[in-house]
Amino acid sequence: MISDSSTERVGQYANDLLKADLAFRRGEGLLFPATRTSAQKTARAKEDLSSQLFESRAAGKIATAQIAMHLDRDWRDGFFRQLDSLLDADEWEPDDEPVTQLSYKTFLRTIVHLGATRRPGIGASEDGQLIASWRNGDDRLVIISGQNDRVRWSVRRNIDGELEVATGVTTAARLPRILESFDCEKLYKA
Amino acid sequence: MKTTNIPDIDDIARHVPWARLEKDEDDNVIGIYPEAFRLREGESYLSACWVDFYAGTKPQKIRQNYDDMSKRRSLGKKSGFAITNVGSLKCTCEGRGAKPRVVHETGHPTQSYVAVRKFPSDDDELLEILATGCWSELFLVKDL
Repeated sequence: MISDSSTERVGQYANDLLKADLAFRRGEGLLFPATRTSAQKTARAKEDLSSQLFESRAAGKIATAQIAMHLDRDWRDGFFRQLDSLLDADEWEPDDEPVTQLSYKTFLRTIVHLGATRRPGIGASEDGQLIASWRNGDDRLVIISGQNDRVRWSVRRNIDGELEVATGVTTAARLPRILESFDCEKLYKA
Repeated sequence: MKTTNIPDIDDIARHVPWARLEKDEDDNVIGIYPEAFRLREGESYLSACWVDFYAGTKPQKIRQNYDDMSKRRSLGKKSGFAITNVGSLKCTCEGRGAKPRVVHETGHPTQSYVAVRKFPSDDDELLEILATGCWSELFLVKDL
């Protein structure tokens, strides 16, 4: 006859084995912590990062495909090439968050609201927000797409030799009205 | 850690990853985004390196800074270094009501390590002014 405490101990042992097995399969190496070298850890971290960047690229492309009717084919193809280049694991800072799905959505809504026919240059902030920019000489418009349609923008304009700089935070829908006074439509319209 | 103020006539460089370099629609690098100078959450100062810590021409000095930093972490081949003169940086920040301290920190694994303390990284307009003005000189790693 097995006592209650023995049953508990066997149950606990089985539970511990199961946890260790799962951890081992996930590659956490709990069973053999000393066998994982620093090179292996680095390789694993890079593999994880590559997978996160792959997911981010996919999210960006899916979101773009969902509004394909608003964008011409060359624009989309070019943007996809830019995404592949931006989210390259060899160039990505390990501490940076890959671009989020919410940021892509805000960016695309901004493009539609602006009627931007010229494709922007793109980058990313350390917290996973897509940066879009257009430039002509000294004139530059930078838009950083956050969550829920919030955008942070900065404009630099050379007006008759005088440099004018302005920045702000607004929504994708309000942005075209705000930018009107800076006459920067020619930056983002081909 | 011992700190020393960097002379105003000297230059410092900030490493700018590919994601924070301004590109045109064909991925040609044309500048630096203001976000290159934004502090990460939890950071209390902006990190950079002291260009004039080393001897040689400016590209040679930056190359030595690159070699020093590369020993500690991997730097992307498409990344770059944004250079500013310390005096110009302080003057630009002072114009916005901030008084940063630019100090060399002895004992850091990167020998030429610099901390820009009291840097007002939440001033969006200042970041735009720096990125297109006094902190806009750029050396790409691929050209070093």
